[in-house]
Amino acid sequence: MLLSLSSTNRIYGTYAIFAVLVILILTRLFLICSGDLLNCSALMERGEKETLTGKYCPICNKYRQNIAVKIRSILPSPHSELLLGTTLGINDLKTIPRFNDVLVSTGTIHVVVVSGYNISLVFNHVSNLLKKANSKTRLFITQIIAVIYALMSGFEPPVLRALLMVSVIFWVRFLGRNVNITAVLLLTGLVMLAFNPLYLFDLSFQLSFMATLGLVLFSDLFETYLSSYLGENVVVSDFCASLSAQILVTPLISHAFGRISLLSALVNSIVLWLIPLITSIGMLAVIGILIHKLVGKIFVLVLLPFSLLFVNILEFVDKIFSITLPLQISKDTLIMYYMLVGVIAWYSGRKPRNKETE
Amino acid sequence: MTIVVFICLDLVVLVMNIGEKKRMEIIVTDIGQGDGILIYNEDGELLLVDGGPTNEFVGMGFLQLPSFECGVSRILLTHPHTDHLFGLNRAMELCQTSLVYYNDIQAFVSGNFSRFKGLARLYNEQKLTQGDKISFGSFTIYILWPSPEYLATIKESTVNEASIAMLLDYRDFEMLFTGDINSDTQKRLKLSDYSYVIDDAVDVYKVPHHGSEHSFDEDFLAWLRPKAAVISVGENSYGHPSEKFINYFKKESVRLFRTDLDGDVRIKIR
Repeated sequence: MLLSLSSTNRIYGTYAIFAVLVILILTRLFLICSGDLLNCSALMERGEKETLTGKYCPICNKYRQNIAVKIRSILPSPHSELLLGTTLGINDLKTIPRFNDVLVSTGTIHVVVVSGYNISLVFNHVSNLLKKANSKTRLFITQIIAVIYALMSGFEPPVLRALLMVSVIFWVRFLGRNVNITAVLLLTGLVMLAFNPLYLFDLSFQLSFMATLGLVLFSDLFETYLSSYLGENVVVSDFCASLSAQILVTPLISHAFGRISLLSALVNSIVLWLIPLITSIGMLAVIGILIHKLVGKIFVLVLLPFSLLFVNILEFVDKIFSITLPLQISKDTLIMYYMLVGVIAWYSGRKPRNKETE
Repeated sequence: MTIVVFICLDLVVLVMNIGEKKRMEIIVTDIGQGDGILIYNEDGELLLVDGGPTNEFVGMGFLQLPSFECGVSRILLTHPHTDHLFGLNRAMELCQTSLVYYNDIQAFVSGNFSRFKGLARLYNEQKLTQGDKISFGSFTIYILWPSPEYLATIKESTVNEASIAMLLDYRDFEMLFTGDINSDTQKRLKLSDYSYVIDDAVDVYKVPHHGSEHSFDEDFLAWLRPKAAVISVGENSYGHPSEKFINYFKKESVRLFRTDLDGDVRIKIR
């Protein structure tokens, strides 16, 4: 309904759905946290550390761990941690604290998690593989595989958000309608919060949501402006994407970690082109290793040079430049900042964008 | 054509990062607050002595050409504290090893140690006590500590004192490895029994317990007369390394290498 109605009715319909969801979320939040938001935050911190996959699909979790053991048996550190983080969402970064610090100080820590990007990669790859099938079958199979992949990668909030969002976009496209990405993102966020209001206090959910919102709101704007001076190329495009995400993510990082990376957007634009390669070849290595260790190893050998390049560039940049600034912004400043962004988002929402960021 | 160029570039990058095969070299790695030592014999075989507190110990250097298989021949765990053990679990995941040396200290229980024992069971295991001797290529390794009697009395609080201490010998080169033992235990190493091995003085002394003051014993050091000393240490809140060690080595003109300041310490034996 949200996307099929047109003009004024559609806008009112959208607002009505959003309003109902917000009321539902606030009511649930009030009940869960006994009317105290601080209590909510504490509840989240005390909450279960087990992934949704571990909770609802133990067999998926078992397979996930088996794959991890096999990958670790053919790939040294930190490359195994990088591959497992980018493809299966297994966070082993605490076992490689120095490289973890390099990722934090260069502002590239977001790379070593399964995010919306992976889900869209699965949708695109599977959809391309099934080109010859009819569109309904193709979408149906793609959807099932994406759900399986989301389960295998831990079903963490960023994955859940991306799965919902990308699924809606693909199905709406299949139905021949236009998609308002901002509306879909907000709807996805609200549906997730209605399902579990405590996600509001989950850092991975906050970062994932804000990064995507930043891309939706600012990416086109920056790209149009910078392309007119520097021309259209992958570095400009990656720089604009990074900068757009950073605008909304940096305050959160500052609040959570007490430091921000000054050259994050620049470093990201240098290494971002490697991520699709590392993730795609990494996914093939994961599938390969399920077939036979040797098959997995062949893909790993193709992957290693890209992974080495990624690690070496970041370590070099981290060694040469001191690029972190100790800065911890308060909760009040954070709220004011995002209220301001909320106003911008509201204006932006009035002008639907056609570019699909993920 | 593109694929051929891609494969060639791929191989070049891999070969460049794997690096040359090492021979007759001992590397005390900069692994932070812990111990992680690599010993290569003349055939390029690798003996790991402890694995440091993180997985970073197990990097690209472990892969060997042309198979890209991991080249760890043997593993030795001095004692089961995490700062010596953690990386060895990762090494055993990655590498096929022929022999694992360690003493199963029943009084010490930890998840990492249980995992280590589980992984070690996949290979040949060997207990090491005072008087044992290992041949590793041209290296001979004399086990100085712990004694079987002492092992039987170990409590959780004295696990450091159960560290395997050893003397590595190759012709006129000797290096003493001491794990985390303190000054009292150093006196019980019976080093005088090995005077026939130690030609003149010990060439390199791997300072025990990251340079803790509890391991400092001036008499022991005076007997040892090391030419060089290595302290494996990282950022810590224990005051490691102690000023006592640093001042002593300065006073006696012993060359001191610290992993926190010098990075990996490489000892090439000719």
